[in-house]
Amino acid sequence: MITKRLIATVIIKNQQVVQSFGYRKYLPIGKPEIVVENLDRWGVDEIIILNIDSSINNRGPNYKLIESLKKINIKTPLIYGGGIKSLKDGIEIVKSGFERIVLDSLLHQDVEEIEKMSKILGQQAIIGCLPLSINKNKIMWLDYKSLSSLQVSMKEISNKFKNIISEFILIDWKNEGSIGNFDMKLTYAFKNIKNSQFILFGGLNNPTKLNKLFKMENISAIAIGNSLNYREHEYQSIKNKISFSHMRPKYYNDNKQ
Amino acid sequence: MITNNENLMKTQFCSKCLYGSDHPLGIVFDNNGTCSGCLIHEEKNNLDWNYRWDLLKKLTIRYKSKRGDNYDCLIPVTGSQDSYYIVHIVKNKLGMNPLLVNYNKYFNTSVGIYNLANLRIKFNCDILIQNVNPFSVKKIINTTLRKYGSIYWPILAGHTVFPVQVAVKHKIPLIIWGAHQGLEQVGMFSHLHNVEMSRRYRKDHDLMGVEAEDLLSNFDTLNEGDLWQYRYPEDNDINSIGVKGIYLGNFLRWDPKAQHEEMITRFGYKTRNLNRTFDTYDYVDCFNYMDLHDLLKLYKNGYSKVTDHASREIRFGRITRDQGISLVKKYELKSIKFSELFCKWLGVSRNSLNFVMDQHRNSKYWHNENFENWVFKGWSTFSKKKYSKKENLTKSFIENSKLLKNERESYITFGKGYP
Repeated sequence: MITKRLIATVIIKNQQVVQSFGYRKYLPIGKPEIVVENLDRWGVDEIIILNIDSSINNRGPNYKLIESLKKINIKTPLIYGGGIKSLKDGIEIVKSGFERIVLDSLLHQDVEEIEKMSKILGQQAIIGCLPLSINKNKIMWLDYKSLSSLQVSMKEISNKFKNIISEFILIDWKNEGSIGNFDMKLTYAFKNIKNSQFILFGGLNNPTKLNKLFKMENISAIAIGNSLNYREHEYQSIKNKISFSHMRPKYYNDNKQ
Repeated sequence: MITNNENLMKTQFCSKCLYGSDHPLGIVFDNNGTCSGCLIHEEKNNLDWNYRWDLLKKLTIRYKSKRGDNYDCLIPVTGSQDSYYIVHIVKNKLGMNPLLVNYNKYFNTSVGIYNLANLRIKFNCDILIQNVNPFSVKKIINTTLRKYGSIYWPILAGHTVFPVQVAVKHKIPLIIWGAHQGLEQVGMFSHLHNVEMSRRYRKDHDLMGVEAEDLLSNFDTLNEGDLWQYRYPEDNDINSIGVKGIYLGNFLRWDPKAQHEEMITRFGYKTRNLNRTFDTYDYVDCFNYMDLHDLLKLYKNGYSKVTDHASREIRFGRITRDQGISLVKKYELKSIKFSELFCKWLGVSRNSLNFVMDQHRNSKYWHNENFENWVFKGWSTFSKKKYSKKENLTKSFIENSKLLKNERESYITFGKGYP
């Protein structure tokens, strides 16, 4: 049975795919449709699309992007995050073909709206996004709109959203975009939490760390971003180095078969 | 941050080079208004290039044929660009035995034919040349010109796919390219990312989002027989051979002007004056790249190759931003010289060609005031600076093909080259 996933993350800013480094610096990559089509051909387990300039500019979901992705014929499950403020947004996005949605700023602002979404779309469709860092052994949760961080207890967050959110994506935002620098101390924040499942993201392409993290029971998936753009078949290459057996095997497209 | 207050209201321009936010490869700016291309360019002055050279040696040594019965690597070459420098590094510095691969573009100048022949002779290399039949190539160009405003699609597709096909067919996994265009122009990657060749980049940025299979349509005359030569090998085949395309620009401080000048002196690389740019080194092998193709770039994107050349020279500190603008204004609206040659080759009239080309003028950069009268409102119009004849910057580029001054103006498909 497949119990762990390796997810590809696509960051969108100004309608283009970008590499993101520590939530502050960006480099261009290209058109979202072509990046997503390529990941689909690589057979990635899931694709998370994060539109990072929606909420910060008080805009709603990027429907222009969503429409353009509807036109490409892909088989990979898609997840969308960015600018989702209401149940109506959630419904529109799911109707467009996305299987799940990611919520970030709404977690700070309006838990009731998230409850409505969970009730109508299903708890499985909702992922909570938590950009975290460690400061003097305390876990800090970044509100990226105000750029302020709040000390949190993962146990409290997990209990607060227990029956509403299916998974949390924990982002080591300071090491996002780095090569293999995910802060393993962040795992102390959630290692004893049994009633939630976590996706990890941010500086995670080091096979040793990936293998260690996949052994943790409450890690359901790891997401990789920038480095998938550096080499052909980088996704398959990373999967090749993961020794965990309950994952979909790597895949190389062959239309001749 | 510099913005133009007229037609380019929403276009942000770099505070250092001449690139704008509409750049077709994608570009981002920092809080100081400096573009990602300029920021990444700074790495050229800060990285330990000795260390990076050692990385390259360690990477390539694994590919040396142990029994000496196959080539160590492939090098895609043309009669211009950085081919000489790449072959020099691979053969003379890395001590590898490369197979050169060339996609024949049809639009070859005699300088290009000479340079390619001289390349294989001077470096004593084997070469494989692909020549797709002209009937199919013309059919493809008819379609891509009409649909995408491009006469260069088959050349870009062939140049980027032929080496990969040869790698798979002949089991030579390593392909060595020169500079990564995305990295050099818009800072798409850091040198430290050691970015490699990918099908995704080729489709997105070399081929304008259009692969061979995307050209097949019920509403067009192209068929599989015209296009199969441009199909990318399957992922399974690429993986089974372990095909890998690396860029020397990640491991060497890449400076095209300096490199070309070394190749002129050491190996007799020939250059020529081009009508639409001050750079006499790049694209000398083609009648159309710096002519009709460059004009189409201006129509679609609001800037042309001279802006790329000027931005490059600004970043290397060889000219100022004002001097760059001056050069762009001197060259970008110069008329093209070889459209009749192209029309004769393709079998279309000049009026037909102009009609199709005009469909691809981007209304953001071109205003049609009355029939046939177009006003240019592209990137360079953001600056009021005019071209100054006093700043004679173009003398710093060498032109040395006086030997070929009497060349016939016609495409050379195959040439003997020179002894």
